[in-house]
Amino acid sequence: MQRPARPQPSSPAPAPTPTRRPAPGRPEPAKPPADLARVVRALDEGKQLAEQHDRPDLGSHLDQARKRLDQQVLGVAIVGEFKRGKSTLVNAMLQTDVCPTDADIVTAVPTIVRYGAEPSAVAQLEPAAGADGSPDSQIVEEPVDVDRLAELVSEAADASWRRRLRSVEVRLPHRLLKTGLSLVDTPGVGGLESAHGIVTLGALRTTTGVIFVTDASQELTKPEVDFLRQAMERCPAAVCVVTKTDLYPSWRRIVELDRQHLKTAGIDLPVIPVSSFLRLRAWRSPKLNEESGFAALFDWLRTSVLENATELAAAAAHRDLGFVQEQLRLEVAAEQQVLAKPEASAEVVGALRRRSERTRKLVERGNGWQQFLFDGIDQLIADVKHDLAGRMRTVVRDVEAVIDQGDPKETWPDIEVWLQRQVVRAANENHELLNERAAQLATDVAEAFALESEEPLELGLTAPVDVLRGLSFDPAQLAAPDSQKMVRMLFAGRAALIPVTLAGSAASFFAGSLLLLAAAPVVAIGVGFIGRKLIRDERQRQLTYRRQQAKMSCRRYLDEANFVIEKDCLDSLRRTRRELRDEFQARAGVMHASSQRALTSAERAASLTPQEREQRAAELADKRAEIERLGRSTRTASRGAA
Amino acid sequence: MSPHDDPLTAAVRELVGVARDRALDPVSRDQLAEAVDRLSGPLRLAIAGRVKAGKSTLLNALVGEELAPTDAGECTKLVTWYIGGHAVRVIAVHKDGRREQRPFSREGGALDVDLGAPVDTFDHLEVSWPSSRLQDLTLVDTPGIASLSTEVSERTSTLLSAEDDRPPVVDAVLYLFRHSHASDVRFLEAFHDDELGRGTPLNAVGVLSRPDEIGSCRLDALTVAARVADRYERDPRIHRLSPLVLPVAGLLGQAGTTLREEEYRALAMIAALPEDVCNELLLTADRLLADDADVMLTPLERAHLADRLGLFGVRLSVMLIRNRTVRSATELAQRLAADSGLEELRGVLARQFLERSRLLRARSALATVRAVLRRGGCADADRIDARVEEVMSTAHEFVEVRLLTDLRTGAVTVAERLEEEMDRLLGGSGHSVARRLGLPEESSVPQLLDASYAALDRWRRVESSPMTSRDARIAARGVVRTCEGIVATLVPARV
Repeated sequence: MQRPARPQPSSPAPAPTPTRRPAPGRPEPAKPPADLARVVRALDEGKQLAEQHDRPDLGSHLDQARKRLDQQVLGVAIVGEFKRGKSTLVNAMLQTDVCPTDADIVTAVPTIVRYGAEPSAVAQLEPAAGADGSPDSQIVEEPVDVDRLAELVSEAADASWRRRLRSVEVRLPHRLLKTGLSLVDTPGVGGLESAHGIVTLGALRTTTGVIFVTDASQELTKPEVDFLRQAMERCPAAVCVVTKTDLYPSWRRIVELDRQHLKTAGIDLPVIPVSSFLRLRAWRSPKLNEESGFAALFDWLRTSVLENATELAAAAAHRDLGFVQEQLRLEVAAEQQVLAKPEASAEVVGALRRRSERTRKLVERGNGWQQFLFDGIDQLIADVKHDLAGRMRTVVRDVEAVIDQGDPKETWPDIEVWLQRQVVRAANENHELLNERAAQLATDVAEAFALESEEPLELGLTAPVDVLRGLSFDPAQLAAPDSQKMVRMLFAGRAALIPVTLAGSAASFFAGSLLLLAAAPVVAIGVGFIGRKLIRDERQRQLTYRRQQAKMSCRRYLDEANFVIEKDCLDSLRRTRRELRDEFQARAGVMHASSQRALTSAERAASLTPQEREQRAAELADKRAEIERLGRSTRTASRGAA
Repeated sequence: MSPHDDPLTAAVRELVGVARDRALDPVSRDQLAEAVDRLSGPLRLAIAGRVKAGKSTLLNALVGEELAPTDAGECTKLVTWYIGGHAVRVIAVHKDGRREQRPFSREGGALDVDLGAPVDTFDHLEVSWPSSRLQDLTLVDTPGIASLSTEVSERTSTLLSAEDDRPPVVDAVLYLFRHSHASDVRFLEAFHDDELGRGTPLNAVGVLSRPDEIGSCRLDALTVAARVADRYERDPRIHRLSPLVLPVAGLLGQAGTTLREEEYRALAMIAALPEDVCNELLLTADRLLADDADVMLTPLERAHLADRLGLFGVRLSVMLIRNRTVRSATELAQRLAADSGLEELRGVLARQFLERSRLLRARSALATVRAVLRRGGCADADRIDARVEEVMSTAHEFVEVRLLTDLRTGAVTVAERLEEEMDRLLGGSGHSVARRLGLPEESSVPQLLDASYAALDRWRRVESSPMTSRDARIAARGVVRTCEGIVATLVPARV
C-alpha cells in the first residue's frame, strides 16, 4: 500500500487546535436553577434561628446539609465501544483538548474532568513497587502537568507507570463544570463485553447520568443495545449520542435506524446526533456550534441531569430543614401546651420525662438500634463473603473445565481474557449485592431507630400537631404527622446516598481494585516456555503438565482476586457502619437535647403566675410563627421531588 | 475424468469416485458427487466477518463491478454466491434444496433480486455473471454475525452450532474485521464466522476493512491503518489463524477499478475551486451534499461522488488532483486502486490461493469423504479410510501443507531463526521456486540452484543434529524433501 501524502495545510481535514481556556461569551447551559439558591438561603435562615434558640447542635446539622449541597458531584459517564469518539466528545463539550485523542491509541484509564479555579491534573497511582500490591497501601496522588496528559493516560504510556495508574482527575475552570458536573471519560480498551466494560457498568450505579456514544458509521449492534439496557437499569438518566455525523453522508439514516432498534428493544431514551469535529471548530465561528448538534446534548444535560439532581438535592436539604424545625418546635410546643392547659401540666411533664428517658437510651452505647446495626453488618459481612466464595468457586470450576478442553499453549490468551472477565463480573455482582443489602440495612436501622423513639414522640406531640393543623401549612408535611414516618423518610433519603459513599470520592469512582484486576495479567509462569523445555517428552504428558500449570496460575490469580475483592467489601462495610453510627448518634444527641430542653421549659412554664403565662404565651406564639415560616418559601417548589 | 489432472488430483478423484459408488444414502452420494465436481471447479472464496465490516463492498471491488447491494444499514440478508458464467442468471436455492430461477433488476447498479417468498425460506442465492474475474474464483458473500436484526443473527448462530462433520463449503476464507482493540472479547470474532467452513492458517487471509475511517477520515488514515494491520499480523492469536493481515479499503478499491471519466471531471472541478471554498465544501459530508454549495455540480452529482468514494475518497482524490500528483482519470484510478490495498490483496489471492487451489480443493474433497465416512454414509469404510490416509501421507504436497499448518499453529517448533525460512520453503508465501527460496521472481537458474543447495544443506544439518527434537527432526525431513524437489526441478532446466 502506498503511503498517502501528508495532509497539506490547505486540506480540509486536520483537526483544529482548540484553546484550552474556554472562550467567553459562548452559549452554555444555564446555571443551576434559582431554586437551589433559595434552598441555600433557607438553610442559612434555619441556622440563624437555631442559634437564636441557643441550639448550636442544630446549626451544625444544617451546616453539614449546606456542605453536602455545595459539594454535590454530578458524575456523568461517557461510555461506548472502542474508537467511537468518547474522548473527543468530552473535549468537544468543553471545547478544550484535555483528553488525549488518537486514531489508533486508546484511553487506558478513566479520566475525570471537574471544576477547578485553575487548570490542573492529578494522577491517582498505586503505591510504587515494593509494596507488593497489598491492598492496605493507600492510593497515592501525584500532580501532573495538564499538557502531558496525552502521554500519561493513553495506552502508549510507559509500562511501569501504566501498571500503577488508576485514574486521572483533571480540573478546569469551565462554566459547564461549575454546576457540579463532572465528566468521566471511560477507557476504550476491551469493548463493552470485556472486563473493563463490566467495571464500567458497575460504576454507572454511582453516576447521575450516562452518555452512551456510538457513531454514524454503523447502526447499533446487539452488544451495544444489551449494554445500554443494563446501563439504564443502573442509571436511568441516559442518552445515546451518535458521533461523527460530519463524516457520513447517510448519518440521518443511521440515526433513524438506531431509534428504531432502541424502540424495538423497548429502550426509551433520546438519540442525539452530534459532530464533535464541528463543535471543536466552533470557537472560531458560532454558526458551526449550531450545526454540531451539541445544543440538544446540553439541553438533555440541563433537564435530565442538572435539574433532576438539583431537585433531589433540594428535597434532601428540605428534609434536614424539616428535622431541625421539628426539634425547635418541640421545645416551644411543650411550653405552649403547658401554658394553654395548666391543669394538664403534670401529664405533659410526665410524658416529656418519659420521652427524655427514651432519647437518653438512644444516645447510650450498646442500645437497641446500635445493636441492630452491628448485628446487621456482621450478618452482611458473612453473607457477602459467602456469596463471593460461591461465585469464585463457580469461576474456578468453569475455568478448569475450559482449560481441560484445550491446550493452554494455544488457548491461554483467550483463557486469560475470559478469566478476567468472569472474575470482574463475579466481583461486580457481589458488589451489587453488597450495595443493595447495605442500603436495605440503612433503612432498617432507621426504622429501628424511629421505633425506639416513637412512643414519647407521639405522646408529647399529639396536641402540638393539632395546633399545627390549625395553621395553614403545607399539607404534604402534615400527611405524615407521626415522626416515625418522617424519620423513615429522612433516612430513606439518606440511604439512597449510601452507595455513593461506598464507592467513595470521584477518585475511586470506579471500584478501583476491580479495574486493577481487569488490567493485571494472569501471570502464567512457564506456560509459554514449557513447550520448548520438555520437547522430548511425550506430548500427552506435556499437555497435562501445561494444563496443571495453567490451572495453578488461574487459582493463584483467583486467590489474589478473592483477597482484593473481599478486602474491598469489608472496608466499605466498615465505612458504612461507621458512617451510619455517626449519623444516627448525632441525631440521637440532637433529639435528646431537644427533649431535655422541652422538659425544662415545660416545668418552668408550670411554675409561672397567670400574668406571666399570658405574656409568655404571646412570646411563644411569635417564636412559633417564626419556626413555622422556616423554609416555607422554597418548599412548594420542591415538593414534587420529595 | 479430466485429462489435465496432475497425479494428486487424479488419485483424489479416483478415491472420491470409489467412495461415491459405495455410498449408502442419496445425501452422501450427492455430497461426494459434488466433491468430484469441485475438484476441477473454480476456487471458492468466502468473505466472512462481523456485520457492516464491508464484505459486500469488498466483493464488488474484487469483481470490479457493482453487483452485491450495499447500504448504510445492514443489507446482505442471504448467503450469495457469485459464479462466473456465460449467461446472467439468478438462482434461489430453497432450504429443501429446490432450485428456482428468479427475476432480478439492476437499476441502481447493484442486483435487486425478486425473491417472491420470505427470506428465511431460502438457503442461498446463486448469481451467474459473465466476468473474467470470476473465471477461476467463485466469491461467496455472507450476512455476517452480531447483527441486531434478530433473524439474521439467529440464522447465523444456528449455522454456527451445526454439527462439525459437515463438508466445507468453501476452499478459502477472507476474514474481514474492523479496527478494534486487542483485548476486545470480540477481537477474534470475525474468525469464528465459520458458517461456510473454518479457515486454517493455510486458507485464511485477514483483512482490516474500512481502514479509511480510522481516525475520522483524516488523510493519514491509510498510514495508520497499515500500522494497525501490521500490529494485528504480529498478534500471536491472529497469526495462528491467518498469518497475513492486509488493510483493504473496499470502497476506494471499487472506485479505483471502475472510475469513470465524468467522475474524474467532477472531482477535478472541486479541486479547481479556491482553496477556502474547497475546504469548506469538504469539511463535512453534509456540506458536500448541501443544496446551496458554491460549486458547479448538482447535489445529485455530489451525492454520487460521496456514495462512490466516501468522504475520505473524495478528500484524497481532490488532494491528489490539486497538488498534481495525478493528472488523468487513469492515473487517479491506478492511484486509488494501489492506495486501497486491493491490488495487494489480489496479488496475495493469486499467489497464495489460486496457486494452492488445486491442493486446497483436493483437501476439501478428502475432507468431504472423511465427513461422509464418519457419518457412516459409505460401505467399506475401513478400506476407504485407509486409502484416504495413504493419499494424505504420501503426497508430498499434503505433507507440506500439514507441516506448514503445524508450524503456524505452533504444534511443531524449530529454532526461531529457521522458522521464517521453513515457512517460505514449504510454500507459505507462494509456490514458485523463487518465492520458496525467498529470491526475486526474475532470478536466474544458477542463482536459484545455489540458494536451493544451500537450503538443502542447512536443513540436512538440522535434521541430523542431535540437538533437534524428534518432532522438529520429522519436520526437517519434510523440508529436506521439499528442497530436493526444488533441486530436481532446477537441474533439468540448467542442462
